[in-house]
Amino acid sequence: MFATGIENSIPKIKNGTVRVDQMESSGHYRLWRKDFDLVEEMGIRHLRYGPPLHTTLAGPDKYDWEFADVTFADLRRRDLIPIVDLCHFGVPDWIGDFQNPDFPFHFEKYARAFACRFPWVQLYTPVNEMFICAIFSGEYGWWNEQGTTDRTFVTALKNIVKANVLAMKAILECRPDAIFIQSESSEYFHAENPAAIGPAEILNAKRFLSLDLNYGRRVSSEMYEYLLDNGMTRDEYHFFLHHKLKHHCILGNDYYWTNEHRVAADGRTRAAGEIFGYAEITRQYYDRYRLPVMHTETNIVEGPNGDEAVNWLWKQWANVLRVRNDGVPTVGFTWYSLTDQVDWDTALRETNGHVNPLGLYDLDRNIRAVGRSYQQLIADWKEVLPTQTVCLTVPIVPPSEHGGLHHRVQEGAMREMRRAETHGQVA
Amino acid sequence: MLNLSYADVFSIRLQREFAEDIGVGDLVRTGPNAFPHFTVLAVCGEKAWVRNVQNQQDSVIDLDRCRKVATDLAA
Repeated sequence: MFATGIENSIPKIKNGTVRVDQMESSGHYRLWRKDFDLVEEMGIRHLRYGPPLHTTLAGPDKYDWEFADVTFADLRRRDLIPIVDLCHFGVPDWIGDFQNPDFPFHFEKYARAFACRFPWVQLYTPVNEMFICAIFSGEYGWWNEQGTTDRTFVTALKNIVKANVLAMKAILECRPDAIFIQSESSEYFHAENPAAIGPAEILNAKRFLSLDLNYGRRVSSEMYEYLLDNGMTRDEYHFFLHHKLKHHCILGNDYYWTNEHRVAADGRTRAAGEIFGYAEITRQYYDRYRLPVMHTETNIVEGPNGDEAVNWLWKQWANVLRVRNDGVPTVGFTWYSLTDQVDWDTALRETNGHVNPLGLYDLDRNIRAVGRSYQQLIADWKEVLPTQTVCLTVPIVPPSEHGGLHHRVQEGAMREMRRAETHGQVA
Repeated sequence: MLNLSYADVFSIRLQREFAEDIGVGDLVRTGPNAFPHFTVLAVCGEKAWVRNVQNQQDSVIDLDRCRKVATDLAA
């Protein structure tokens, strides 16, 4: 799978008074047909994409599908395969923020309603980058509730992951062969000196919390104490252990230049730049979860020489091949996003209108050097990536084949498998 | 020193292919796309010293990659 995405972050900032909407900033609401043209022009068939949650989920059990209906009909007509991103860093005004314990239940219903309305959609990222969403909203004080304590972080985390788990279950009711590509930021914390090893180890354990809970993997005793000391109850923890959803999942890991950090003895962190790189960090995540892997986000801004993003693309691709050739089942790669973004240079905390030149296309929809490079890379390598083994081919049903014999057989088999899972017959 | 770039692999040519006088104080972009924007601080031979208008980072680049930007389009 070669993919890109339409960036659809929607956090609220400035104590909830300002809504950031990246699909508005990038012009996607006006230019969505053109954007889908560009996806096809790239030779891409897989698109990370989702309707804006804050306007589509209009109230409890109330949905406004107007934009989703027209855009998803067009994707289906083009036989493009969306990886549907239902929640990207924000919630509707009426829900408030990620501290709201009702959010998971509203989101579960929303996911079910979406999956039943668009039954030809098979690939989902229910909640994008759960760890980043929780830490930026609940610990760094940047987005949404702007919490700054361990307790607000743990509250956001448990609500976000619970929402994701409930959404996966709800989607599987409508689409038994759904596949969840759980895009999550892959991080690493480097100790600056021996005194920093302890704080770094804690952060390196904390980075796994979202996926541990999501996949029902028991956390370390240290993290268990951390969760319970900061408001998670035993019952809330045990909720995450028994859903048996992991084998419907692909481990999507995102990697940027900013994903590695230096840790000082007092626990403070700062950017480390690329030290280990994507391959090493992905191996760490794969060793922990043993799931097929997809590189689900990367980019870098185009700089003064014009080829900075081209070189980064090549480097990321070389890392993907390294991981794959080391035996990790690797199913895809993503340059994120299709167009330039706006204000990510301040992590969306400020509304300066700064254009971040990191898309395959600029905001005038003119192709960038990295876009031309990705186009060529896809053409050159598209036959090679799936050749690791035919047994690891992702069982994707393209929109044009939805409802066909192959799909009906696959869906029937998956329905039986899900029945066995929920009756305790599958470990 | 040879400046290696994978742009070679993809046969991407980054140079401007039309004549244009670039001088100190000009607002330029360094490729065909709209952003990023730079201010030219100095010109010496075939090189330009430029400053990114958003993050103030300085770079020395090939002069023939610079294209003038109309000031009303400045970031």
